[in-house]
Amino acid sequence: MTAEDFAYAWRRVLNPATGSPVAGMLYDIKGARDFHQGNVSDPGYVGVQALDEQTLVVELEEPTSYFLQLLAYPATGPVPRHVVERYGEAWTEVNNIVTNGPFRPKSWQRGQSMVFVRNPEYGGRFTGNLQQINLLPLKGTAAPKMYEDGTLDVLDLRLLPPLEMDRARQRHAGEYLSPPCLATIFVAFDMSRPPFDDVRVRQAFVLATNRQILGDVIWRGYVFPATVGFIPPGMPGHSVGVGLPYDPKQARRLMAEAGYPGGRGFSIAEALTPHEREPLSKHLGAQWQENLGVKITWQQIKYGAFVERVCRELPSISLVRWVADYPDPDNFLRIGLGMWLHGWGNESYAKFVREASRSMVQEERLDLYKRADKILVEEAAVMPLNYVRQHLLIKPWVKKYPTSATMGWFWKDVIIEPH
Amino acid sequence: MNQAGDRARGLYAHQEAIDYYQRSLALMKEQGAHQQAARALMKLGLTYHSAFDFKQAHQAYEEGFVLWQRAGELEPAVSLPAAPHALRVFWDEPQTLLPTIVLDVYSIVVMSQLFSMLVELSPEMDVVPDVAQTWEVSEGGRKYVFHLRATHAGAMALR
Repeated sequence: MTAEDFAYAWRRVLNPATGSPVAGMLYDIKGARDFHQGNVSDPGYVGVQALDEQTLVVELEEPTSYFLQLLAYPATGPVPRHVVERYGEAWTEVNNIVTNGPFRPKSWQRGQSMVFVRNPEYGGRFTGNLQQINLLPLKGTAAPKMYEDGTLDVLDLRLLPPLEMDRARQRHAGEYLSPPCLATIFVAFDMSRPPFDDVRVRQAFVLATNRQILGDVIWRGYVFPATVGFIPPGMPGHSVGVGLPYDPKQARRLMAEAGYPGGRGFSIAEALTPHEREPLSKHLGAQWQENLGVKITWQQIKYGAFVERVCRELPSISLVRWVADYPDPDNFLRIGLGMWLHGWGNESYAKFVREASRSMVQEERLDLYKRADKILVEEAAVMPLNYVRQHLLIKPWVKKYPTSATMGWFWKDVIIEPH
Repeated sequence: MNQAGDRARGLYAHQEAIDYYQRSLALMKEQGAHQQAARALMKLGLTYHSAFDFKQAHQAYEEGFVLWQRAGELEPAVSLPAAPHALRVFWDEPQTLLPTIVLDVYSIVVMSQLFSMLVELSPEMDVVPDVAQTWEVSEGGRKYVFHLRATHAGAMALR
């Protein structure tokens, strides 16, 4: 692997022909935005260059405080050019893929299991003792059952319904870990068309939502109610004292003003959620029916299909989670919301976020992000619902299982003891 | 001290974080703890970098890279006994392994086990060398030069 594998990968992400939804992550690189948006067609214009096999030179548009953290994100990883050119999109299939990391996939039976084995070519530090990982996308109550039987080592409780989460945690209280996670679950609206192009309607939905109950009762305290800013606690730039309260009366007043008294005449095209957020969607639907008189029918689909779908076209309402890729507000207000704010066109918000990305004084940057966040939540461009933590059950024989707040897992450093 | 520093750094209270890391660093050096000193220097470098103080960041990193490499070479040659069985994890299937379109957390978690990036964002949110062993930032934060670790011929070539 050489420096050119990185330069090639980045130019590929930025190439408009690739249609990458993560290209915005690389916009801090000189010329990247212009190349991606088609203003220039020469990929050589992008400020990344392999001087020789081991030297990569990157030029940025502006000094960027989080640029190093950004480079740990998979979209900035290297791509083996010869394999891509040979197999095209199929280059990541198990039989074709070439990786430079600690593991490589050995087999993948869709819906059954995915097996990874240690990569003998890995050149970095490997402090754990795993030779193999079996990734199991289990259904229903199979996961808690296997954990109970000792045939599962790590169980991410968030993949279970809240009631099951509680049961499993209570049964294995001594094996429960709750590391932090920089993430916000929120409602996104399609603001490009009625009814959510009307700020009063969006605000009415927020005012009609009791987020305290959502966190405490529906999620049984596994999440924190997000009644303030969109940027979660634990991140620089988290705001308190902003946002809209729970006020159903005012919500009804705004709906009437917007032309939907008692919810009459109100309809939306589509409300979409991934399966795992179903308890949340049910409760939201009930609250909106009770407080606004509107009936919203949620469609639940698989997480992967959800991501694919919302990238193509925004539903009227979506239930979304954003996990930090790098611990800077830019990742929430510019990248995380990038696709969700189409149709809003709030100039002050855009101006604050833009100015923040140019400022070289962190106090000033954070102040700008806070001002942007305030507009965001008070104009109800999105409705933050919950801030989250990780909830893991880990068997006692797993001596070390590092995780990070950006949902990083580090299998190369995991240690399983004989048992 | 490092933990207190991490908390301060995480909230961009840079001066406070720097004070903690400096004290931790002095202590580690005194004790000859290369590994920990290297880590403290990585934290310090990143904190200065986040505060746009690229000159101080450079100093911390210069020293940090040397110690980091030395600590790596000093790591015990005795390796752990292999795990008694595979790690069995309940996790949703990745949507994709293509870095050009990866957005969802299920894919990201898997891909970060398969691909090494220029740097690693550690559990403590430190930036530490990965494929890039060292780097220099110049032109007031507008230019980065990364020096990549050598790979033996054949690595990442076709199998």
